[in-house]
Amino acid sequence: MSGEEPTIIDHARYPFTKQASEKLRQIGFKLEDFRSPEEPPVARARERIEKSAKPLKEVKPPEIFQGSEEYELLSFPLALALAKAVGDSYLWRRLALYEARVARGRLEAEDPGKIVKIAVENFGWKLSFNGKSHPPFRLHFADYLRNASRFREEEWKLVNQRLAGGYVQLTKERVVRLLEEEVKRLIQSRIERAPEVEVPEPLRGLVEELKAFYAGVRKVLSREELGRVRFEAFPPCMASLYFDLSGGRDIPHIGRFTLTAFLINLGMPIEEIVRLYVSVTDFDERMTKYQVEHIAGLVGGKTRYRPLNCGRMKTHGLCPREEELCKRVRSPLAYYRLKVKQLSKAGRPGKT
Amino acid sequence: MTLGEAEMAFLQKSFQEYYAEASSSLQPPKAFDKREFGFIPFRREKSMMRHKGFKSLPDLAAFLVNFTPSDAYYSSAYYERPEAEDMAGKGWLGADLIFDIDSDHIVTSCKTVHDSWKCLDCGLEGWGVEPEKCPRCGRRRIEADKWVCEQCLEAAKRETLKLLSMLEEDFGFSQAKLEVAFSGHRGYHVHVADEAILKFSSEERKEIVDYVSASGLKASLLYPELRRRSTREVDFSAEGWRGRIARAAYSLLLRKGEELKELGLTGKAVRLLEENREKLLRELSAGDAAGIPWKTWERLLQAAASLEAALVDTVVTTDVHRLIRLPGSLHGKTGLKAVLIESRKLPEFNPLTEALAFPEERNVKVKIVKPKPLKLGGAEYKFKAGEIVEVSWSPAVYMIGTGIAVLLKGGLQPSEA
Ligand code: SF4
Ligand SMILES: [Zn+2]
Ligand SMILES: [Zn+2]
Repeated sequence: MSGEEPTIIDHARYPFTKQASEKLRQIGFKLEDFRSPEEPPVARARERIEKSAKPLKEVKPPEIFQGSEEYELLSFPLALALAKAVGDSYLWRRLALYEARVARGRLEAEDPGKIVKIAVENFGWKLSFNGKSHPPFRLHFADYLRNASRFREEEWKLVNQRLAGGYVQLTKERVVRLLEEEVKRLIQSRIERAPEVEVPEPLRGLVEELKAFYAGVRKVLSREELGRVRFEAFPPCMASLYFDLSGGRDIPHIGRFTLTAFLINLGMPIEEIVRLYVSVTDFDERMTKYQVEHIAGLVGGKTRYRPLNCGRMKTHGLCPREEELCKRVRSPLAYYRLKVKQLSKAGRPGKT
Repeated sequence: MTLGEAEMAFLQKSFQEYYAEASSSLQPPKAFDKREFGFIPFRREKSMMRHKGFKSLPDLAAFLVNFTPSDAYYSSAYYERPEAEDMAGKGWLGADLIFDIDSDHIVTSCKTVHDSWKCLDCGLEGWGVEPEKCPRCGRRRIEADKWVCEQCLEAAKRETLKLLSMLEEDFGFSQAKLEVAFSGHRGYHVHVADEAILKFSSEERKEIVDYVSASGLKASLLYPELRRRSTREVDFSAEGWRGRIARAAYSLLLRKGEELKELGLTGKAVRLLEENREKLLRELSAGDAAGIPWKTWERLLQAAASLEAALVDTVVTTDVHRLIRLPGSLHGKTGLKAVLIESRKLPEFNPLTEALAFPEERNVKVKIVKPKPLKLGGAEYKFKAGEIVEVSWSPAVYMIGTGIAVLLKGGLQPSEA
């Protein structure tokens, strides 16, 4: 493990670390100190937020020029504060995803000692490196599962790892992928938990701009996502799953399953469902497509799945509240059909 | 099957005497005051009484004597307020990792001897494990009549031993963190209390279940190099499943075809193994398997995995609010004690002699209504329907609780002491 103290360039590269936060405290970072959107750190913060709207695949760590390290570092808490001020949880999630992907890109080029140090000091991982064994990293299974249990690929399943004495053997690439997950959670919870932000006058315009920008991103998404499906006829359970997902919140696997089955049964095209997932989450496109097709019965067992009925929704804690109409149905699909019927009786279709 | 009034009273009286004597043999869980307790009363409608909390062991012991439940449970979870009635109010703090191994879910040949089923629609009957739907009328209203025997319990023990070795070797849990308990009826429970898993969600627990039961295991991912034809090294000493399936594959190859079929391999897999046995063995022991097609290897390794898998109940482990039987309490059906067993003593443990709860000196007269093979306390019982017999207390409770006998008037003979 390298015992060297991190420098300003390290802080700029990994602004989410404890040492970077310490440095920011020393510098005396305060939002009120920024007087114009043109100041370099503010401009960089804006860039961070705008870039986070792009597909993750296109994310590359930006170069940090000599002399600009401090701006770079300052732009990170600034971006978080601006995102908080915008108040859109979808943006929060996207920004966390973006920053984590940038960190991953940089970590991939680091030497093992640095990777271990960051993981141990910031996330309390039990991780070690031994150049003589192959694969060379050893990570405690609890740290492994906390991050990998979300991945659906078979190659990430614990049963397909080399596990001995509580430790999983991993390549550098995989360690870094797991760290990305950890960084993402850290940043997201930092934004969520931050107190409300009092934006100084000169930056209010910028916040409004960013708000409009992200609302634009979301609108494009939700129009193309829903297609012919009538959102106003969704039962509370599906509406809330859909909101959580598009708001960038994690929903449990069973929730994704049942929402997908619901959308398929409503006739939403598979490509659109895949696009929905890929655009609002970090799900891998190929895997997502496979899973959606599986639920649609196009591959695998060829059974087309139906969403859970109300009883099972309730056992899984997915039924938020019963509405009047709920009392007359036993499944979310039945709710939808009944509601569509009611809506068309009522005359013109509602607007979204 | 529902018990008669007299039978129920007899069981409750017996349990009460046990609890009055046995408060010292209760084996309370750690962090006692953070657990929720649940009880099933001796009543016709067996609804569970939940959300109980106890501050101390004497409180619990006194409750067991006074209330005398038919079954007693505690939560694998720790709560800030165990007595709160809804989950949100309880304040979940974490949960032990638990495994349930139930012989009911394990295929054993004895099931064709002591289990049977009946279609409630057309009346067709058969022996063994009940089919999902009736082979004659295709309907699903099937009544199963199940029994547990020594062989069933041995099978459950084997699964438990497999599980324990994975928990120790692969997961690195020390014996001090592991608790094994006989369930009092058909199998075993394993509890793991460790900081590392305390806060695990269902998804993380599911990954552990999948690990120990080899579910989702892909030989091609554990042996990527076997697939590429370049090297064909088989790694007997490797970590985790990589080494385990290699070793198991070797011992599989040493078995006879008949045996392989009994182990649950398909006819096709058995044929494949038999045809290639010599070659596979040669290459395996040379540690170099260059001459055998990948597909053959894959089948062999997957078969090895399914034999080494520990059959545990997924739902139990992934439920972070689960209630599990309280060690030291009695099972409501059998009257056997849910005893804790030191994991290194499990191989020798015999539930049918070591989990008996009642003194031998007292006898009970019962009438056999549904004869089943029973071995208990070292004795073997073979009865005919309608027979009237006098047996000692523990077997009497077992027979009455499981409904194979009814109480004869006079019931429990007074003890001398
Ligand atoms: S009752 Fe059924 S349809 Fe209504 S919200 Fe609950 S799960 Fe959805
Ligand atoms: Zn039938
Ligand atoms: Zn049996």
